[in-house]
Amino acid sequence: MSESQTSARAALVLADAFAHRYRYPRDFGGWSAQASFGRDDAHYEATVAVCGAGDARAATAVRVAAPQFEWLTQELRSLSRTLFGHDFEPAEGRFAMSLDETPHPLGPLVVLHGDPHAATFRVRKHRITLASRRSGSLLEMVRVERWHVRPDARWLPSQWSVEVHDGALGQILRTDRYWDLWWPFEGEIVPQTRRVESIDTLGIRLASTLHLREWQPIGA
Amino acid sequence: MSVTVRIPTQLRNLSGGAGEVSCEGATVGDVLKNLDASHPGFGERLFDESGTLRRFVNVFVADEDIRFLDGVATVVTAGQVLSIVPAVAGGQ
Repeated sequence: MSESQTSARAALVLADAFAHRYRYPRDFGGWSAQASFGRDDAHYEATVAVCGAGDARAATAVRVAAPQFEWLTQELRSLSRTLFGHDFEPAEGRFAMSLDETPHPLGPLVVLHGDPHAATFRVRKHRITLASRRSGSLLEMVRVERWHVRPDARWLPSQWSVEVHDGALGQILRTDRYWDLWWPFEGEIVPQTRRVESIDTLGIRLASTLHLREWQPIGA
Repeated sequence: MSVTVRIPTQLRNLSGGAGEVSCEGATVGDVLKNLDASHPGFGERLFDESGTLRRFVNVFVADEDIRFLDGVATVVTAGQVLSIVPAVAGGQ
């Protein structure tokens, strides 16, 4: 098989997985909600709004410690990028790709060439099972373990892990495990609960949760 | 019964460079113990001091993560493929 045929086949596999990924319709304006968030025994209340990919806001009635508030906005931005998604063609689709079909439980490997983050993906049954990207000596690997699958076969990750490995130190710096519970709303899906469990190099485990309720649509 | 164990690149120094080896066992735990018996060194790489599968090691039977089956007690059948996938492997 020629290099261009391999690249075309790799692009087909990856584009198919992106096409099966759930995302909001273009005219969906987002939502606001009431949120309870925190870790262990310290929980706070907030009003939040998610209006676009990376566009998430939060306000609290009482002062919240900066790390907790940053965690809330970081997770809301993460959820917004998942739900609003991005177009494949101008992003991953602009790179040449290759496909390694050596048998692997997570599916064949798609490697992007020329990507500054040297991203790779594994795809199985139209779903992304693994995504990796490099930044300097750091390698971030996201492995999706469970999916929320809609009747139309479009999927969202519902259980996944992120490993950050430092090649210079030769060790895993951090492991984050995510559990997302999705909820139907106005014909679309909103997050109801996100739980994140982080384990650092010392084996210290921290669990944080975000619960959302009373969603309201935001006009487009 | 005999199953095929796929060895990740990082651990092939323990299998004499082989990407696959055959092992006997009725469960995933048995197979991995027999793998360590035939190729010493796998045990300490796969299991911690308490004998629990290390959290950075993922094991698949017939492409299913044993975490969502019965863990190391997952029953295997003859001819199945058991894959060992370290947490920071699988990409490139």
